[in-house]
Amino acid sequence: MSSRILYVDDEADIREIAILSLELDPTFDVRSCTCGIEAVDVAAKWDPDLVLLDVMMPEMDGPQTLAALRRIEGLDNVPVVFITARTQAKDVSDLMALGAAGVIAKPFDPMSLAAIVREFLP
Amino acid sequence: MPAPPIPVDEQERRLLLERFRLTDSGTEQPFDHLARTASLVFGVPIALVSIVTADEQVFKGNCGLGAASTPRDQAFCAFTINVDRIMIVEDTLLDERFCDNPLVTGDPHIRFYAGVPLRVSNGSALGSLCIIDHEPRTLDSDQVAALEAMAATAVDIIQLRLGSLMAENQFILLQEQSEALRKATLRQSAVLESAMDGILSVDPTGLIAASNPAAAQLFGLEGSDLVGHAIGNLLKTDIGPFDLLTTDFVRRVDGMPSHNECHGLRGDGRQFVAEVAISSFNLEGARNFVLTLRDITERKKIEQMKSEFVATVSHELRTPLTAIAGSLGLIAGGAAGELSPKVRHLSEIALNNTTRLVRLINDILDMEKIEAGQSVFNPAPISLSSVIDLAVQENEGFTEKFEVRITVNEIDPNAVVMADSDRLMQVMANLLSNAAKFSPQGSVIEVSAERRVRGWRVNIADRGTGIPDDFKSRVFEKFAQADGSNARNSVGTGLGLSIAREIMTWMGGSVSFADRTGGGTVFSIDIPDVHADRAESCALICQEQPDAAARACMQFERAGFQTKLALSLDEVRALTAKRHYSVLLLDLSTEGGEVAKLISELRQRDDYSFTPIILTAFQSTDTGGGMPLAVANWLHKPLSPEAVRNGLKSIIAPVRPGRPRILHVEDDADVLRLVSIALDGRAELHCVGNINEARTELTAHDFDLAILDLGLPGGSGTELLPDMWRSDGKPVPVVIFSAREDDPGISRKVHAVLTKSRASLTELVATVESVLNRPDLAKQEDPA
Repeated sequence: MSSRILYVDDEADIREIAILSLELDPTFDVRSCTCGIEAVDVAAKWDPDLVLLDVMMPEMDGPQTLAALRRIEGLDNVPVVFITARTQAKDVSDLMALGAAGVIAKPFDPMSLAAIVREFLP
Repeated sequence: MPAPPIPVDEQERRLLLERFRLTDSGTEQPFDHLARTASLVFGVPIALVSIVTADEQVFKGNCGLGAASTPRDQAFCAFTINVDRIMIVEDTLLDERFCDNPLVTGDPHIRFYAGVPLRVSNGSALGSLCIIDHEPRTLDSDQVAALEAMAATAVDIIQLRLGSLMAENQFILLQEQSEALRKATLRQSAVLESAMDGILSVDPTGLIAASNPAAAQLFGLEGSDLVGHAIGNLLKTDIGPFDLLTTDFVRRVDGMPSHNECHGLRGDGRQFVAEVAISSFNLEGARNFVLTLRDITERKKIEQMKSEFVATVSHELRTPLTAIAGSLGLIAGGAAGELSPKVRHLSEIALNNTTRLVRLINDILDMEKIEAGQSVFNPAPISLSSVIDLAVQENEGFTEKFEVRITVNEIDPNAVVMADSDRLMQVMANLLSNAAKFSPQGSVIEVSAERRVRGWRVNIADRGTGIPDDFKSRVFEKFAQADGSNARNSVGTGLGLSIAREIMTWMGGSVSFADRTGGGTVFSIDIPDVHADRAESCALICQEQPDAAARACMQFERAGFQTKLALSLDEVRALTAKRHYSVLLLDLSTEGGEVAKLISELRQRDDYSFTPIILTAFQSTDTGGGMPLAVANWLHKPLSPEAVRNGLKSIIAPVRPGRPRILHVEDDADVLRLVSIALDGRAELHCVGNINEARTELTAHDFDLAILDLGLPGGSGTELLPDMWRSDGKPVPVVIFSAREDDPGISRKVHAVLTKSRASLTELVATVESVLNRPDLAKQEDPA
């Protein structure tokens, strides 16, 4: 059975690389969004198994998107993993305190990204 | 003609002439009157008051002689000053000494001479009063007496003159002094006027007593005088108006200027960040303060901008790097199809360097955060062996890459250290990857741990080429790399060791290195121990104001205590009856007498007889009727976090049974003896004179306290601070007793700093007793 992974990032290049990396795992069904608003929309319809969220995005940033996702029925428990360039201990603990399942540092290793994400799947 | 003899006291005589100001030529009226009187009384044509100087006689009083002086070798008076009472030459032509004297053979044709020496009170003859005639004469005894009386009058005049001369001198001196004072004041005020920093003198009530223009300018009150303003209206701290009399400031200004940051309030309502250096001085028995103020708003802004800039740049750099590293990773990983060996090799080079760039950015950001004090460290008790195992495991990639092996020698599974585990891992990873980088292929890196007095030491030993001697001093510098030609160096950022050291310092440990016997280098990390028993310690807190209680709870919890709040003294009674608390914080300001009663009750009980009790009060004099309270510490209200922390410091080293054992490090045998006498057998004193002996003692025994001199043969006593740990993992409280006070930072590291010149032995003994926190000692001190 395949896992639905929703990847949210405003950087097109990184989005493309992340999708390529995640799709190295044939059991992953990956969709991407360019902003938090779109992500909330897609997630509500698509019901992903895991959401990968960039932190710094215009208009609606990662933490705000997380909060919005949590308000959607059926998504209040979906694992949300932040993927961010800000990975100081303080930044990570702040993100974890918001209820994230994990934090992945940018730049990530594309060859092992899928394996790392798999760890967070329920 | 024989020359006149030189008196034996000639030197003293001449000094006196100077002092009496008699060497100038020219007559003076009182002496002239005397000479004239003598001439009339004795009916002689010439009468003189003469003074014999170094080479002539000068006439201060002259009646009948044309000359103002004559050479000393011809002077009759030069003979007179050698006689006791009077010299009479009745006929010069019949006297061998004078018959061929030019004053006899020529003008003024002296035939008769009678002179009485002018002897001042010390016995020296300064000159003579003489009468001269052109005819031979004799004097009867009355006439001799008259001449002597006149000479005595001349002496009186000379000596009286000294009095007025001295008064005149005094006056001139005073004038000179006041002029000097005026100039000094002018200079000082010029310094004050032109100083860039604001300088304020503040009286004990907090009112400004003097200020300079820079201070007025700082507060936007140019041209006006700050004198009379309350300092609390101009400066405020984060917690309220700036109050010099809060314990915090006063304690810190004792002896050395303290630096504080606070907010300055300008006349126009704007604020600035002020750096304030405070020192104090005594004026009429009251403590006054000098505040030097500097506006550091700009500096703070720049520091802040630098931090933000580094953070932003790092983040902005990482975004494109993510794309580059990601693409390269996918290519090199074969995700984009099979590669020719050349392309694979090139893409690996690109990937390696991208990774290096990422690490560099991470390190710079890390360094910046640590240096700016923004890094958060969360020390917790962690198992040493598991940290080491994890670090070795995480570095397997590195060891494979450099084809080296890591072996871990058996590590005590019970070894527990106090550290931030992420940060410790970072340090370990750093040292392990370094060791791997510099090790020859196929060699083994050995990791071991050893028990130290103060904690645990982890050694990472490699068989690399070793650190060149000329590089050893720079190993921990930023961007320092020994040998640029070493291709393997390209992996490092040059920041790793410098970050490792910063991290360990923040955690109360250190990083060091040494050459390894047989080649290679050993890097060592010293990690402090856990104060294991503190986790179970519970503090009982009873404070009148709820906010004070909450603050105190927080501070105690930070220090590793559990806390229990009691709302009244009755509740304290009830709670202490149920279980033992390791420390009590009680409030004296409400029911002083009740608190005293409660303490004496507790002290009667076996389980509370030595329990540290900290009292809070608005004033330490507020002792509830002078009762001898056996308490560990006094804290002033309002409670500041620092005061609570300091109060806690005194109880962290718990009481051990028996007499307290004190290490006294001092090279002055007298001080050693005095302290020993002052403590009077109440402690077991171990006295040593230098640092090495002290180290030996510290390894051999557990001490309850160390008294340290700073200026010791072979180095400063502060070098011993890292060794101040006991085998049970507790710190040894340190009291500095030294003539030197050159390191203002020292007071933060030790329990107390006493300056030899300032602190009496009694004070030292009192401090020692308070540090040892032994109520039994305090009781011995007080016979009541």
